[in-house]
Amino acid sequence: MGRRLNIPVRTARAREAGPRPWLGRLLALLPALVAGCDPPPLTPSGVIAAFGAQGMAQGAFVTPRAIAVGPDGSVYVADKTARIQRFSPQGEYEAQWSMPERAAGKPVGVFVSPDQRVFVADTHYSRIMVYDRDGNELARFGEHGTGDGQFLLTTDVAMDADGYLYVSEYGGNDRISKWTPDYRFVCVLVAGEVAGRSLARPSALDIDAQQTLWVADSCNHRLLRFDLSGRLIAHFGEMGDGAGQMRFPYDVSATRDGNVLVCEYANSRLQWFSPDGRSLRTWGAQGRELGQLWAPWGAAIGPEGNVFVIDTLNCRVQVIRP
Amino acid sequence: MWSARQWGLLKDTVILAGAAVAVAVVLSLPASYVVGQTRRLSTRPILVALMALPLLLPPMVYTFGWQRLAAALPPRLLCICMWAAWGWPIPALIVGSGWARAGRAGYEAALLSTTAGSAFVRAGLPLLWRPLAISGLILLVLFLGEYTVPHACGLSVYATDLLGLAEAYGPRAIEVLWPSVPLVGLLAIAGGLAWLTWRGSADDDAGAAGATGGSRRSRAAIAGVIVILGLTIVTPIVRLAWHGSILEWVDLAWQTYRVELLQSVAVSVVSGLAAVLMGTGIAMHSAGRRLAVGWAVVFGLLPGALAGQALVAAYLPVPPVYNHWPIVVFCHVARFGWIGLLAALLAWRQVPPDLVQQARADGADALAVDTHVRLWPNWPTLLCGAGLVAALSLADITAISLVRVPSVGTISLTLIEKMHRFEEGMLVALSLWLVAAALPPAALMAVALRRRG
Repeated sequence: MGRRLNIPVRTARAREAGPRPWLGRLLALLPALVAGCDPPPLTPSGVIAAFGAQGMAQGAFVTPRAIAVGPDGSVYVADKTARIQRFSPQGEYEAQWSMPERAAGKPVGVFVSPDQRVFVADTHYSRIMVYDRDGNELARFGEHGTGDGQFLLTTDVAMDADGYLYVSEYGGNDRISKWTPDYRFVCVLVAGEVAGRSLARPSALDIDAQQTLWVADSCNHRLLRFDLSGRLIAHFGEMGDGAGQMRFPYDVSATRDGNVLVCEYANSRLQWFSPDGRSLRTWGAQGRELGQLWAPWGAAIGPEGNVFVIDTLNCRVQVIRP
Repeated sequence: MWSARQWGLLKDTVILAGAAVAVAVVLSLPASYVVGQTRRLSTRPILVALMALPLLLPPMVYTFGWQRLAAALPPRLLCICMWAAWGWPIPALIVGSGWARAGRAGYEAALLSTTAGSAFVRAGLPLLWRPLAISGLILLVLFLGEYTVPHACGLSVYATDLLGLAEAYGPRAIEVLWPSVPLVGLLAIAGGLAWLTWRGSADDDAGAAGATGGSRRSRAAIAGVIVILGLTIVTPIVRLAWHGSILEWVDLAWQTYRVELLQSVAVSVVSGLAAVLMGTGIAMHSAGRRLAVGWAVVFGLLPGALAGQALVAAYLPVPPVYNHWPIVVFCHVARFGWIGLLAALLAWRQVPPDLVQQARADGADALAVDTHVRLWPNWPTLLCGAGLVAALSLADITAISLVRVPSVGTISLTLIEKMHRFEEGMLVALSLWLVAAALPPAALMAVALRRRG
């Protein structure tokens, strides 16, 4: 059943539809007449693989929204059908399972711990689900509410070197809380105003090798960096599409070389920052071709340093060697 | 065949839609009375434009407002009320026009020999059943295919399910075709009945009544209309905007989404013009005119998910269309082209035959008659049609969510995304933009009606 698609420059939908007919080839020569001038096609530089297509079949996605890579290189993707699918590091489909409930909404966050537990932010059910790598439920924690140990809409999970868990949530109670390794509430780590603005949909978390917590404060278009006691160390970013600016950073990942990778939903690109907030490079632009992204929700870094980015509206995962 | 779940959804949808039709008809009574007191709609252009304004707004915008006013209402009741509060101008205009054309004459004749109540029951009602049935069926068609209000209320209806299937299966239209059969069947039955009733109502037109109005009772009814407009439309929108940070939100939304907004407006305006151009082309040919209403019904009946899916399947092999704004324009024309067609037909029929004959006698060829006598003098009607299509295109969600392209932002999809993400400020600001976008077409409608009058 597994498959790996090294795709030539085609769209996900086009792959399902079969070979491009001659009429399409002919008309493709006339874009300026019909649709105005295209931007010059991007070379899919750095793309080493892509997998997935639109659909409900195994290995296909419907609006994939969360991605995580395990210590063994396995890739986990959550999509809008409330499925979690596991792929090999080469993008071959391996397994899938569904969330226990899904009528109210689908999960938007996945995290894999060093011991290969899969944490899923079951957003609309105000909880975190914990699975083994085959989808067997190990635990669940959290309940609906705004008090201690309660969540509104969970978005992501991170784990520090001691096994403590950090959970982000939004929906009017935007905050980050800390939990013990056996899922007991410890404290609210970050809430309310941070550096002049209230947290607004912290959509992703990651903890780097220095044991500092990175937060994608997505509706404030910025990144926040805290120590593990909740003290703000740094913040940077503003709304825009220039270097150093962001539009709706939906995911953040610490890289092996000490920088951070940001996945920008509304700019359809990835951007790398140094820890002090200098923009190092960007990758991607909005489109359907390989090397382009369309409203990406998440990116994760594999053990070999490859970046797996979920190209949400193109219903695929692109693998990039930065 | 279809699953029990699908049948259940269909039953729920029909119950919700049917209840909303009943409430909408009740809400429309004062406005029907006002319209019924006038000989032609064009004698009250501002009132008619005000009544049409709600229809140009995405119904979910009202829902956002009402959710802030009546959060405790059960979702199903909220959904019924929202649909009714959005759709009541339709029965008001149709039933009122029917009363003006024939009902009032019969009623006044019966008044000579009996009491008012008896005259209404014996002479008025029998002449009103057709307009009532037409407007009810039109509302039913609209509600059966609408999914945004139930979605905003947290409910799933048949159209929600279809859209989910379309999103799941991508360009394989066949996967959506079969599940859409029950809904399309219902829509076709309702549309067909409306059409048959409409044809039958033409026979009633002979006894069109003369204009009166201005009586004390009429003024009271106008006040009633204004109160209902205020309660159903103005109140939720004002409540939506009633926040200390509203200016800040609007500014932030403009900074964040101005490109998407301008792109959406541009594509919607092009769609409006394209729809009217298409309608004009059809209206200029006699065979086209004969088929036009049938075409309009077919266009209007297509569920959004099916229309969007069919477009994706058709244009996937044509990248210059599939990857760029033309497919978005095609989508809007497929959904709302019938309005452009009706506007063109209306413009065509507004010209008195003797004027056309005079132009021909003066040596004008057919093309010159069509362009200079029929179409150009009726530019407000055509522009109004384009404006209506543009406003509805700007607010469309169902079909456009399937045919969206990377190079063009879609503000209505951004709005629904904000609803899903609970981004209050953005949701309010983007909703108000859509409200603002409906104002120019409504003003154009008033101008068109005034000129016609």
